[in-house]
Amino acid sequence: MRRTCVGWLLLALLVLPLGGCQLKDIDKRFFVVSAGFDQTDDPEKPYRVTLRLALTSSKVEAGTAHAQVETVDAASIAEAVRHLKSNVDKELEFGHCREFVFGRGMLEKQGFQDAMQWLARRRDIQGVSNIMVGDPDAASILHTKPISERYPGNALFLTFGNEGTEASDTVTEYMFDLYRREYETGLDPILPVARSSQHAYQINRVALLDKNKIRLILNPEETQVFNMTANDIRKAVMAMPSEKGRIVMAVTRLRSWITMVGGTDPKVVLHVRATGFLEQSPPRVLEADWHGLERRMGKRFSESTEQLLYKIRDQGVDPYGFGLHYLAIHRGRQKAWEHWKSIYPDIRFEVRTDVKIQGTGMVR
Amino acid sequence: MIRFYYYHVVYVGLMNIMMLVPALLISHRFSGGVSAIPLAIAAGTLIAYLTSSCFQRFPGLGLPEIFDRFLPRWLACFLNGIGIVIWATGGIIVLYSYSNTIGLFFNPETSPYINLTIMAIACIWAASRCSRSVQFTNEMLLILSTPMIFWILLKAMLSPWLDWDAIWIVANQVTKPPSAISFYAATFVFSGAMNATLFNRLTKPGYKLRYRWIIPLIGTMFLLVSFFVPIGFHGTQAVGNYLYIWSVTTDCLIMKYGFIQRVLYLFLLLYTLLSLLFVMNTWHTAMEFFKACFRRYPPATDQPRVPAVNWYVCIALAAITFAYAYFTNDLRNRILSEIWLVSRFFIEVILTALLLLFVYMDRRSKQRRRAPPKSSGNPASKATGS
Repeated sequence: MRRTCVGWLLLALLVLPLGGCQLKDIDKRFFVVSAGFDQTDDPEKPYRVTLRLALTSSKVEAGTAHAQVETVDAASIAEAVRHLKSNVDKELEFGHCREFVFGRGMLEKQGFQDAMQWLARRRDIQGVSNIMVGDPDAASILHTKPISERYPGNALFLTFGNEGTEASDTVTEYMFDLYRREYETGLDPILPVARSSQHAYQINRVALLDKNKIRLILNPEETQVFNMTANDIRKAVMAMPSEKGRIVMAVTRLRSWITMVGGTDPKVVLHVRATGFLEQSPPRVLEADWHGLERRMGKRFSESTEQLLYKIRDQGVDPYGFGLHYLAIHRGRQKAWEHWKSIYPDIRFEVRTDVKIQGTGMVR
Repeated sequence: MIRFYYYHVVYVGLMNIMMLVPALLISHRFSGGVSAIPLAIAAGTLIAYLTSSCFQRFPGLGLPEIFDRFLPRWLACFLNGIGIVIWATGGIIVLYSYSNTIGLFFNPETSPYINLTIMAIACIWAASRCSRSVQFTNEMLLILSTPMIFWILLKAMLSPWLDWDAIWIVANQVTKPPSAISFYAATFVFSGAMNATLFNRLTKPGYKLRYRWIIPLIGTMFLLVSFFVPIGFHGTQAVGNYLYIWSVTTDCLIMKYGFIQRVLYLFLLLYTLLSLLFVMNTWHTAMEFFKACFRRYPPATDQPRVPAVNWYVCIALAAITFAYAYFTNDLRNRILSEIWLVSRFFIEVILTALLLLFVYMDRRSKQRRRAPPKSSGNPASKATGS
């Protein structure tokens, strides 16, 4: 009998924490769906933080998403977020925030390291958050109201990864990867560049950074080549002009890897193996010269990739991780990193592309 | 029933993450942490093989009974005391680290003592059962949690974001001379074999521990995964900046179609089960060692009614955990867990030496009893608990 009493008493103890868990309910929270960081001209308050807050509603329908955008300037991001709380009536909740936009101005003048400090320290910010550059600034991206949004903020994150659209010129960069690239020797940060156009986002360029600031922004064509060779992105196209018209191959499978040849004066060899089918071509071109076409297409892709690699090298950044690979294969050499830094400005590249065309689609 | 032995090996191997073993190894990744791993695998396997062979010679006897048989009473009680301290502390560290991590990621607004209270109540209840129930609970909790944990580990290993170049760079550091503390910490993965000290009571006479090659296999796998996967995700440099290294690593994974997309929460929930399992076993072992110091409590493995002393001992352990939580912080917990990992290794070595001595003494006394010795006397005479 006594034993049962003790058991019930212990069980009753479990009821105590149920009285709220000191937790704020969902109706007293504001869900932040995207956050933007810009730089101001005021030296006292150099940071401008813009938050997009979801106005929750029971309707889930395209075009019914409403959001409130709040902006505040402060001496640091953490302080800005605290100050911003006094502008709103509910507690800010970052648990669902997966989009962070760095203003282009901030990345060109001040760099992203301060903003990264805040992101990496917060326990409620996901490692798989998408980070991007806002062109011309972060606030313009956050003020955009895409008409296709079903609930606030979903248009932006569906763009990245392969959750929604699988665009070959959209580079996806996660928070944990940016943090890795910020510190890694021989691997430099990359960020997609987003631009707002009327009621949509346009994310088809990539910014290449040194450890802090933007060094180079690639155009959409280069971005696609970069994305194919650095991230093995599929659903891309390889195009080539011919006498009768343009030949376009849709890539279905793509794999790339790096090797290094030569001892003291190494050459970086980037191997690409692409498989696909022709999506657009003049009739009966493939039948006439199947292997020749594959070879010419590969050669053309190799040339454009080599051009891109030299362009990136001349800016002194290494988004592919060639340096990291060099360190991985030169073990036990203390000076390997110093040596690599001295040879990288003059390093030679070779791209070997192996194209396999599977067919021409439905017609010859 | 040898599978129960391997359950201990598996969950203790998985618990290395909560014991901060990867954090310690990663902080020594450029100063001898890598070369400590193969050494630890060799040493851990050797200790596990030796102790399991020794325990096979004393079926049905736990460590306290073996002590009683060969050592004077005061020395047996003293050694039991060391066992109580080392086992109970292990549970306390895990319970504190776990409730701390949960508080950080699940609900930072809640008082940390609420998390601790809920976990402590579950641990008190689970640890105060009889040895047989504890053993069955092991099986149930492990079957519930391991498939998903293996799935997460596999998902991490096959992720395209895993950087093999970074892993290679760190693996190449294997030529550096090993660091002692990394070696002691890494042997923890093989500590599951030590739980036979108490659970040997449940074995039947003449049992044979087969498939012991599983121990090095499982230990090596867990050690390599828990060390190299975070490096693959965070790179060779940034990995040293993180405090909750495995929580952050699972946060790099995404379940697109899962109803929670952050793998972190699934991972922490699964580690709730594993932590409960670990604390249950350590506290139960400490409790039984404590009881073995008094003649009033003869070893009993199947007790339908839980004696009151079980409750008292476990509640006392929970109270110590609360006191510890009050006085400690993250940094102190880190230091204590390092001290614990090192002292645990030495106690394991001493214990193995003692067991070998006992086996030798046992064989001697058997031979003497059988005097005059037969020349054909097989030294591997079956030791049936007489």
